[in-house]
Amino acid sequence: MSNKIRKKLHAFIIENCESEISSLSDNTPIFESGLFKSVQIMDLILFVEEISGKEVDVEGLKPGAFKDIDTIIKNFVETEKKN
Amino acid sequence: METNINTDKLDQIVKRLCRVSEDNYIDPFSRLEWPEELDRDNWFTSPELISIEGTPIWDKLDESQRKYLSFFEAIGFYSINIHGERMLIEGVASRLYRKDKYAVTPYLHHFLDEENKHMIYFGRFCTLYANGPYPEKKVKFDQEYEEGEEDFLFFAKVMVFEEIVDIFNRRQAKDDRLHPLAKEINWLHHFEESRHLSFGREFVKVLWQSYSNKWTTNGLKRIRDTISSYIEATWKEYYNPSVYKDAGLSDPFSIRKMALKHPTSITRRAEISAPLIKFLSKTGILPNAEELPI
Repeated sequence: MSNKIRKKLHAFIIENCESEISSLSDNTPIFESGLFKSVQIMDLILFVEEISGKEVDVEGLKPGAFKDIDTIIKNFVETEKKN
Repeated sequence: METNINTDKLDQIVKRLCRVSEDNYIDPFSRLEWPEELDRDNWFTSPELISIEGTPIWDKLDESQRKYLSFFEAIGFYSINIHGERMLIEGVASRLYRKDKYAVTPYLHHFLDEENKHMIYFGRFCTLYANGPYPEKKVKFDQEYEEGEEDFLFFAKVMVFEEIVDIFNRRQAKDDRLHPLAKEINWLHHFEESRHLSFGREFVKVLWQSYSNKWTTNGLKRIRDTISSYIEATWKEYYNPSVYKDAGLSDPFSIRKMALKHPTSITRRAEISAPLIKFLSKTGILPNAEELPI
């Protein structure tokens, strides 16, 4: 499940990024490296909701919650497993 | 370095707007009548302003489905207003009585008061008749600013948000097809917002003139990019998958993507944004504003 989502996230970032990507790993910072502008956070949140089938509660969240693909998976996809 | 922002024109505007606000004070708790239930066989958003109007999905809906969608579009629109005004109130409150804001502080008090009232109307509608406002899908990023940049961007963003919202309000305030409560909320918002718009444009112009020649080339580029992206992001909020889902439409995320790209939507966004784009271009804030992908 999370591998499929990981692949979809990769594809989404490549499709919507603001600059040329030489390499994109699961640990590439999405915003800090300038791949995405801060105003694209809404697009990313809605995409995470779409592929995970769960609403993302953004209240109180910091941008670090969307730092890279690994962090997104950990925060918004694998949370149910832990519970 | 401290910049004293106080031009004659801005000073006159502040005095005039304060007087008008005092003469037209509205009590938000007694001004509107709130029925226990709403007759949902009504329009709550003007059909021409509904985000999917003119798309193939809209064409497939019958009138009762369109009216049903218009209610959730109204909740979506009021939610955008609530979140935008919350950002505005936070920012304005933190600028009250700052030395470089003495000249405009008298009006900032009215600004705050009136924005708070608008949130009461919008919030009450969303909580009485739906499950509250839709959540905002934004996260605040920390950023380093050059001198005056943070203030300029704050008021420029407020202006972008309010200029777009006001066109929706102005049109819906005159639309007799709308449920009377929805029509009245739009009228009340426009009535007070029109003052905020004159203040906003003048203040943004003054801030631009005061600081833009001090910004570095990189800073100026970043500021212009931020405003351009903010216009685009503001419009994207009008295409809310939760609205489509609550209205019973299937595959709400695909609907959003389709509607954002549809020529009718693009034309509507360009038409509604035109006065804002003209202002940004004429003032030199965004010299190529007409070429922005909206």
